[in-house]
Amino acid sequence: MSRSLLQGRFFGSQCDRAPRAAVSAAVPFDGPILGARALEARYGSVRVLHGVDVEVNRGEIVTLLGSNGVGKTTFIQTVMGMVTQSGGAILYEGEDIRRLSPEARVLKGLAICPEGRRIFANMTVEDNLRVGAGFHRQAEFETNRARVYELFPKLKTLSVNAAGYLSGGEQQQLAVGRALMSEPKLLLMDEPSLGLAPKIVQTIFELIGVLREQGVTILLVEQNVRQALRIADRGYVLRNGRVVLAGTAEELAAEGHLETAYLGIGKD
Amino acid sequence: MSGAESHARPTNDVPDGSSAASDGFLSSWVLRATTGSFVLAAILAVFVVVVNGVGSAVTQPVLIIFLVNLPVVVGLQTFSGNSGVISFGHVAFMAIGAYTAALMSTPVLVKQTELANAPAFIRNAHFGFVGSALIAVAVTACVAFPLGFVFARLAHPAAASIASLGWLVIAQTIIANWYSVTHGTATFYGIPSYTTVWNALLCGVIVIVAAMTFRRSPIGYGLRATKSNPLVARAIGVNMVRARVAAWVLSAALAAVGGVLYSGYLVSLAPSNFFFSLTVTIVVMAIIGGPTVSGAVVGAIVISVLNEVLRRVETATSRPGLSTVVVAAIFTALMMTRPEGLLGRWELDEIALRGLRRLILSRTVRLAPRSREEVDAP
Amino acid sequence: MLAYTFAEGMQQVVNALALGSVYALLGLGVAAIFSVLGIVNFAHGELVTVSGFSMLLFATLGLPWLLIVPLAILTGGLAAIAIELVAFRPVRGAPVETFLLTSLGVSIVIQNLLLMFVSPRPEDLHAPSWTDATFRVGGVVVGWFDVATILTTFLILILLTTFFRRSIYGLALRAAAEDFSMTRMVGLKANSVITLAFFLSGLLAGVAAFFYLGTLGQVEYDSGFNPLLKGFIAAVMGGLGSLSGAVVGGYVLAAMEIFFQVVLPSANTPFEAAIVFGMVILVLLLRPRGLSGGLSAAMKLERV
Repeated sequence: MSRSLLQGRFFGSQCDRAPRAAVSAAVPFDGPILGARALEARYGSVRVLHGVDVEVNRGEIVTLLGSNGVGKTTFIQTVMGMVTQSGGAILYEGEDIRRLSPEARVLKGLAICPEGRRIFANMTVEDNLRVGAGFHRQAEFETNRARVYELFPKLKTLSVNAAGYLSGGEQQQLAVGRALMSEPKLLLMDEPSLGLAPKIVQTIFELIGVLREQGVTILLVEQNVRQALRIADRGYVLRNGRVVLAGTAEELAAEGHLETAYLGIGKD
Repeated sequence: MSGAESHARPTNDVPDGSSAASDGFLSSWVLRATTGSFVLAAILAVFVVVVNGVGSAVTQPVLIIFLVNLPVVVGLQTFSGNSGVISFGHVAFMAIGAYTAALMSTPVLVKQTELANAPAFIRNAHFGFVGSALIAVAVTACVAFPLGFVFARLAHPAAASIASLGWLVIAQTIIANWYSVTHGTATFYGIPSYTTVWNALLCGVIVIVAAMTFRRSPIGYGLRATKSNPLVARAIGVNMVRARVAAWVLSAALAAVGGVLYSGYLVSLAPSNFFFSLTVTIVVMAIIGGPTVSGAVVGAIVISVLNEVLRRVETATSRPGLSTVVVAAIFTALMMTRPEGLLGRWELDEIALRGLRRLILSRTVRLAPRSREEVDAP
Repeated sequence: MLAYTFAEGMQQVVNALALGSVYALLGLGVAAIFSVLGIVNFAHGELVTVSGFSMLLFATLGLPWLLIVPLAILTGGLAAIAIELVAFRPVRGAPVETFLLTSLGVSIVIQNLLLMFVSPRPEDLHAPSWTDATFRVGGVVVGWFDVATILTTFLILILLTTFFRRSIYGLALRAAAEDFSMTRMVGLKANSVITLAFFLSGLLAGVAAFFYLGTLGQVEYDSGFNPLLKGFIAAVMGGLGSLSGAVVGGYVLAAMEIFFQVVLPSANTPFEAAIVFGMVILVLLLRPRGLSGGLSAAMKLERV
């Protein structure tokens, strides 16, 4: 994976690009790019999130931690709009996006690398990237694709291969590349290291660091606590659909806190 | 909520055997099958007696046609309601039943001229209503049996539905062309008029008992489990192929009963009677009420009445096609808003019991909230 | 049967190719919807009928055939979108079986509306006179219309393939067929994709309508039933989710029909339909995933 410095930033920060008509306002919003306030979500009649408060500032990497089933993926899916938001608010650049469809949220600058990667196996790598550009970023397709290939030279060699034949690590790269094709301001990553060999996991986390250097804001859901806290600025720990611990990465990494939060010893 | 549903189950796809565990005195499936059959059959009987008594010479044919269609509708429900596969081919079984009964019951003299080239054993056979009916049902079941394996094996429900449409066409073609036995596309005439309101009602009751017994038997439950989740059903030991074949054969037999009644009422048959438009009518009746036996009966009643009323309007305003449009539109709208049908997933006796239970509980017991979540929930 | 000469044999091959082209188009229309949405559209036959009646309409308006055909095809596409808006979009989340029934209901409503308000009798559809013309190739009499059918279908297949390979809209359909919710999460509007699938199926029905009804020579309110059946069979044989399979299924179906028509002694000709169906069921039994093995859409848990 290349760590070459690319000319200027291009992913995510709209600051040094000509503003696109519908997206940017005259004065860029300077508050948190994402704010979830008392967010509640449910599947049918089963409530999964019982009031989650999470904030992500521009340029940060924020990580969501917690054991299986606490609602981390549900949170991501609710932010994307795929799961019913039953209460609270999601503020994206200060704007309540509850009424927006998932597609509209992508247009606003959200992008997701979902759990399990979910690349389109029957399509080539190239096609996956093209799809990632949606209807709205087709004009910049060539440029963005070149930059994705620069980030992931391996993908370039595989560009005409069916995505289903790629290895786990390559598919993860493709999933990230696909998300980057829409020039997102906020990237939601759901367990990118899941199911990958330790060496590949290492490269994934290096990649996340590179993305931060390029100005991509990232909300990272992870079970690999150690690596996540190494790369993140801040983090939240979820349990039973609620935030039970929040702080900077250093604070969270300090001994004792996490076990308590994860296992609920002596609390709640 | 009442006893059995106290552990929260988030989805709607629970096989509705859940209530079986909670009803103490109804824990035996035989008992539940009997009670259900009794309730539904009683409702049907009352309905028929009332309409027959109150009605006139005009409503009589409508009533009988309803009773003729009923076994086919219930038969279709037995297969489709339990397996989740919508079959467009059951009218073919009705046709087989009708023609077989006709062949067995038509006087020998008539057959000598009408079916001069038929095999001797057909030409010389002469049975009464019961004999013809039994033979018709047996023959249909035998035809259905090998076919059942075909349909049980098809991978996808939509493919199975389309294949059943193919079966309808195949049966139609065979009947229309096997001139020596069926008199081809020309009308088969001379059938004795043996269908009356009373033996039709009796058939209806028998059919209801059969369908309800199947539905509430272990096989019936197993089959419904495959509707919700085939993999899990297999894991708990349900043999989907066997269950489907059983449902298919039973449903064919029930449809054949309808065919028998049809022969004895219309006293003449033609293959075109048993094709797509009748199929649509039967399917609409079976689906609109819901995937239960009660739903089939209710659906048949509702559509029969609706059809009749609309047909009056249609002739009065001289607009052919009106009744069909209205029924189809209502059906479509209902499917869009309430796909589980008018009665939903529960049989009438279950609905009554639940209503009763809820009534009693709301008067006597205050349910304590189980967790803070429940209190918070709207 | 064995008394067939080479010329007669070639004749039948041309017949089979032309018939197969029509079936392929019909199968494609059915498969297009199924691959994206996982539903079987019972009203697909009505798209053919509506297209046919629109051809009548445009002909009575005096338009030249060069204009009538594309307009009729477009009508098919628009009718499909109308059906989508009225009967499918309001019930997006419903289970697959429900759509089978709602589309059945819509199909009957449309048929009877046509019966009531357009015409209860079959209406003659006079295709342009050149469609009757024939030419000889070494003892074989070939109809221009058949040639047109085959070539047009061929052209459409090429266009479709390019569309699906290159265009973002085609890619969107393929993505939606594979993983609908992920397609939404990359920002491709679900509505657009679905409407596109319907529009495409309608266009295909329109093309099939011209060749099918043009050969038949007439159109009536239930003209759509037979095309629907053929489309279903072609699509199902090809594996329901697979577009290429539907094409193959269409040609195979036509081949079977022509073959049995030729092979069976004339007394048994009416049984040909039954035999063909029987063979289809046999194919489904032996290869439940269809001829091309692609039931990808059907196996998906997520729909619409």
